[in-house]
Amino acid sequence: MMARFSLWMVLLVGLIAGPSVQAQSTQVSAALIDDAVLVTSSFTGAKVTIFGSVRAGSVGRTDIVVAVRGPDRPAWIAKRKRTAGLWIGKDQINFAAAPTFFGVASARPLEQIAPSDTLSLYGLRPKGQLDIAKASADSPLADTLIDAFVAQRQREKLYVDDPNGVKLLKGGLFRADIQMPDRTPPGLYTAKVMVFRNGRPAQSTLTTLVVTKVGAERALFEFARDHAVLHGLAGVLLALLAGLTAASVVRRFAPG
Amino acid sequence: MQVYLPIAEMAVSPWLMATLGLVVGCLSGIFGVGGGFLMTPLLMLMGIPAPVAVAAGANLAAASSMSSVLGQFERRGVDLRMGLVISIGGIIGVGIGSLLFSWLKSQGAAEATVRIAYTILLGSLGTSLVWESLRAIAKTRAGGPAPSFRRSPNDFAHRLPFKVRFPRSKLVISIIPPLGIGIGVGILSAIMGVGGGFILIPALVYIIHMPPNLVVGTSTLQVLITASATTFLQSAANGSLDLVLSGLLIVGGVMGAQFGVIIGRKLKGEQLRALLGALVLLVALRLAADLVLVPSSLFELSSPGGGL
Repeated sequence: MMARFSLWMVLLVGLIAGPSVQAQSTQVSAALIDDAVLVTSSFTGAKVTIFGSVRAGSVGRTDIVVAVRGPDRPAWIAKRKRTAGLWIGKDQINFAAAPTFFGVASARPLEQIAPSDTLSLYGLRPKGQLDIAKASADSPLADTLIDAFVAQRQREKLYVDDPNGVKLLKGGLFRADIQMPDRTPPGLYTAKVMVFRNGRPAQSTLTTLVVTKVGAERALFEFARDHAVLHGLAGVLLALLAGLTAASVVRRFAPG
Repeated sequence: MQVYLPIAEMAVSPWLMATLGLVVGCLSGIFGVGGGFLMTPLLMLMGIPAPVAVAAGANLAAASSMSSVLGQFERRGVDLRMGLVISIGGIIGVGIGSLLFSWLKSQGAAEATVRIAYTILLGSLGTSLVWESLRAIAKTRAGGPAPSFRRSPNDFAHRLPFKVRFPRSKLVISIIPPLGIGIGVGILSAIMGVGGGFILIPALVYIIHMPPNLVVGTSTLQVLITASATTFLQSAANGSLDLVLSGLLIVGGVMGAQFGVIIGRKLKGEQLRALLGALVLLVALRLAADLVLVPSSLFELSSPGGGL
């Protein structure tokens, strides 16, 4: 009985004292304010907010980087070609999968936090997240096209890199905000929080959120998907009724 | 204010969409065209995926033509039998065109050939429409009689077999020319992704020799039938019909069509053809510019099926 009690005590003391014994170890925990983004008829994008706390040693610099990644979908990019003075044809590469949304937030520019190869290795650069299709991998234009793809999605605010997105609060608390545009599709999103100590990745934690259509948006989307024929008939009926209504209104109020 | 589109998966301004519908619906009311050649590129410019843009354009065309065709029927401005024959041809043509399209795509360079040929076709069609109608306008200004496109009795359409009476048009001609025109327009619309109403109208005037007061109404009927079929097929086969987008466009479109009919009634046949010719020339110029000018963006990107 006594032996068992002392065993518990050791475990308990170990748990409490553990972090302070290993002064170098870093701990992070984080949570989303909202783990569901609801797409309604007035949806114009959403802000994902993550709160968390980080406990790290007092020596050196601690950086927090938050990456939110949308569902992958296939994609392609093509570069138009000029043949005999005419813009005909194009060179195209295909991606087997590309993140539909890729947002990274930090408290200072990523290049200052860690070397570029580290950033790529830990999945904080959109370029490294593109899964190029096998048939396209050997294309001599692949590099140019991949860069153009990332640049275009950055212009469309689908791939975001916000060096002011993380706010460090008192007592190791932090807050990260990532803005998603209206075009981010529904699906499962992952949010990764990474802690860098003096430019080296020290700790990370993962959490997920869902973007989902609700209400009328969901009803219409499911109607179109599950009852394509009826949905088509509804479209035709809508057109015919609207035309009929307009014609009869005009005939009533402006005869002749 | 913005409204989210459930199928396109993006938000748009409802006022902008209704205005766009109004303008295109107005053109539809004046000329009896569907306006897909204007609507599809404009919607794509706003970032709406191509298949969704095509389906929405077709749905708008169906609504606008329904709005204007009823008045045309009341004014006895529609040759129902002719419209049906051309529409049947059109549906056959769309079938042939879709097969041809996949064959052309497998040929690679052939796609470019089609684009160049189409540009030349529209360019020459627009030029001759403008030229012919301006001469007719000058002639009537000078006091001469309006030109007549009535058929001479030993025209080829009279010599071909399978003669059919078209009582409204006061024509007894072979069924082959209207059916052939319908097939041609259908093939073009399947390959180029536009309805082809602005090719149908000159064909009705110069090949079928239809009375001018029936041309717009009959073309409107053809647009109504083919656009309804396209709307249905796009939804059933691709699931690319976005009813919210359609609704916004249609609200503007059905009103625009009514304005268009009023404007169209004030125009003489040759004025109508001159304006249509100018419109066709504009489309041809845009296609030519796409071929020749350095594109604003060298890159195009999308997912299969459009959008993200």
